[in-house]
Amino acid sequence: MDVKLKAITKRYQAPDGSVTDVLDVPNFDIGAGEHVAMIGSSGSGKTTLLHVMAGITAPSSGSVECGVPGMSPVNLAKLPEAARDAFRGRYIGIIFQTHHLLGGFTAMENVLLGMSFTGRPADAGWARHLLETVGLKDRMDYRPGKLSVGQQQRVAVARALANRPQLVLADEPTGALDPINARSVLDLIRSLTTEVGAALLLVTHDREIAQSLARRVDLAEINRSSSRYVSADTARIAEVSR
Amino acid sequence: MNIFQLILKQMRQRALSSWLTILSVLFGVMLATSVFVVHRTAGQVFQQEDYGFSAIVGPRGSRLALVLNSVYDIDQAQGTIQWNVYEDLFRTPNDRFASWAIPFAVGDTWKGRRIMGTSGLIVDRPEIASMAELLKQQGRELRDLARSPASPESAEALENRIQQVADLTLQRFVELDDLQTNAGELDFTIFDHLESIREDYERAISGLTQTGTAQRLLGVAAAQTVGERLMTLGNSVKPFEVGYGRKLTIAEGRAFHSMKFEGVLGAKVARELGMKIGDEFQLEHGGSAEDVHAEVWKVVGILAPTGTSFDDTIYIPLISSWAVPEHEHFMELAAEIAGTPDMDAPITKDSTTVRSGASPQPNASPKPGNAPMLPGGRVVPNLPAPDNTPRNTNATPTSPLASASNAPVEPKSADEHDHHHHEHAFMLRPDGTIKLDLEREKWRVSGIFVGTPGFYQYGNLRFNIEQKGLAMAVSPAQEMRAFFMKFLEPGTRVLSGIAILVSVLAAITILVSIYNSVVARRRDIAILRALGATRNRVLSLITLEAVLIGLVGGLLGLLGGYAMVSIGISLFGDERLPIRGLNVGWFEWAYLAGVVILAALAGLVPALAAYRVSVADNLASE
Repeated sequence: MDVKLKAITKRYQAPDGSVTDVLDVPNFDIGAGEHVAMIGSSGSGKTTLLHVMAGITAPSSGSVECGVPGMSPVNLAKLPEAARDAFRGRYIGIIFQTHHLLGGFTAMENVLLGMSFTGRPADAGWARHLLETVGLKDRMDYRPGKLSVGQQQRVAVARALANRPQLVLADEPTGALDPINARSVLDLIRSLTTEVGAALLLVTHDREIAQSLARRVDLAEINRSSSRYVSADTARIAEVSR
Repeated sequence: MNIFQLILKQMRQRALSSWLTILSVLFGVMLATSVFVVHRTAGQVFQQEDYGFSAIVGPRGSRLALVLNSVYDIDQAQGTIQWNVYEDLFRTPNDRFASWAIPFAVGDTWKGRRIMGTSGLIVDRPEIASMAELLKQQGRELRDLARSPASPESAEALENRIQQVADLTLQRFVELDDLQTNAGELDFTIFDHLESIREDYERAISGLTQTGTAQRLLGVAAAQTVGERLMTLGNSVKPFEVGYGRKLTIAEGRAFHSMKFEGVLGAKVARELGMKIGDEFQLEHGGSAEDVHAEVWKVVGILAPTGTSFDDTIYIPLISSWAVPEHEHFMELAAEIAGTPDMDAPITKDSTTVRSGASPQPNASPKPGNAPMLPGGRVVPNLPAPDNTPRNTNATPTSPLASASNAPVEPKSADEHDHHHHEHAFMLRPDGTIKLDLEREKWRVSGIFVGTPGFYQYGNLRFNIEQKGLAMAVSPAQEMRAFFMKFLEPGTRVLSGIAILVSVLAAITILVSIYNSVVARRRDIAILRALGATRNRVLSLITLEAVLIGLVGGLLGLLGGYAMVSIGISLFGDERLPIRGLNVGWFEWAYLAGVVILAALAGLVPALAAYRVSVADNLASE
């Protein structure tokens, strides 16, 4: 799947009525099966951009065109929320900085849960393969609380790939891990996305990690509002303290 | 993982909270169900239309008390009515009001169980139908033969017919003793009626055996009357019904002989008192265990259960209850007041007066089946009866074996002529049947169960009975419905209100419990959304959880409610409340559906909160 962002803006209205622009991305593409690292500091709007691409948040304007092979291109920005949810469940896998696993479910169940909202029957064999691949062959029936932070994140990786997605969005997936774990999780993400043929957008502030991916993008360069966002924020703080 | 697995998984995650919520629903539904079941069952019992009999004819007084006492064995009998009230009903079968009529006398007990003196027709058996058929057939034959043809006959044909009638009448008259013996075993009142038909027979035969044609034609007319009376009698011979088409039947042994000291036990009596065939019992006077009548009855049969208060009764022949001297004395007393308008008002028995000279001698105690002849009492004096029925003038009129050698032997103490201080009220014939001292004009019963063809006929019956001023006719269905509406309905309404409040409370518990869990699970909900669950999916997930709690709690509560009622009934209850197995009525199903809907509505509140959970806000990396 390739994704084309055109003229994306996202603005929030604060409770006091003031409007803040978070995103203003004139153009951004990811090709099918392409691995892209996105570098951005805190507050640069990278999470919002991921949410827009995942269909979790609708942009204020612009289009997010997803080209699924065998389907006419889908503009995620124009879909109603329920359709975006369904599209995300089927085609997009998300990995968060913290694992965001469900505490009451075992590793296996968490992966199966990822298959629950696609309208297709769960593929337990694939789930087992994923967990074996991420090195949790003996930990499938463990609940997240019984797993280490690194193991938890591996389960999260396996879950993101449960539906054989066409696009994997990873938001600082190694941010909470020590360097050795970070390295191996990163390798798993890359190898598994390659295995399923998905495109990967990996957001990180770690330049070394970014170097390991084929293409690198600096969010500050494509998001015209990132500097204004900071200044507007500063201005508001100044106004409040006055 | 489908949606139900997901829900169950989530519920198991907070098992304690889920179970406690289910428990609160369970208790609510249990309470409500038991109230509904008791209310419905009480309603069925008290509002039943199908008592088998459509009316009870009894002494004037409280209509409700008559029904409560006669049908439910609650409270005391209200008094007695004259036998001729029954006679009138029995003589008009299939007529304007009564299809069948069964007289009964109550008031005494055995070990606390009600004794009912009654007709042999109370218990159904094949002999009743064959007796009815025989009477009708004999009567029809005689009537048809005796009925004059429409066209004038030749002298020869007339002579021929008269001869035929004479032959048949004589033949029937010869058979009468046998017929009466059989009838006496079946039902004393049929016996008694045949006795009165005997007079018509004698009149017919005396006419038919004259030489003059006119007298002989009068004999033919009398023979026709005999035929008609036999047919009428045959039509009246119908067994008692405890419900539409349901009769009291023998489970073990046989029905009592209607003229002997025999009895049959209701199913519950036999079971609870552990009595069996061959056992003996006596009558506790007025229900008091210290005051027992001397006569002894023998159990000859046990009835099949019917699930009504008729299972908790001991049945004895009416004639045997009249044979108790104290009962006889009471009826004599009632007759002495005869003629005064109040004679049908309840009369208090002065047992002291009765008892003063009535203590039975051990030797003279009449036990059926003992010596062939026992001194039974004294000669029945020929009191002038109101209708001057000639049958009382006959010295041995009621003997089925009417021969001089078998005539009842006069007791040695026959000189005693004080009505109120004699020891016996009857004689025993050689075959063990009872011959009462008391004239039929003095017989009294507590009431009469009457079956009418329909409600319209009940109206006729009531009007007819009450016009005469001797008794009243009460519809048990009508009285009990009114009673239920007046006394039981308001109470159960309040209980139902409480039950519904408890159910609403349970729904609020569901709401609070799930709402708290939704607040605690915001992040989980956001994760499900991120994994592709739509808002509606989340909404249904939470609502279904509430529905599941309502359904599980409701079903368990329904079972619990029935269990509670069953246990309650087995502990304090009464077989008159017919709760058989898990017989869930439409109302309980409707209530259960209501509970589930209420649970769904309660679940909708937290579900809407879950619906509004923002994915972006709740997934933001910390």
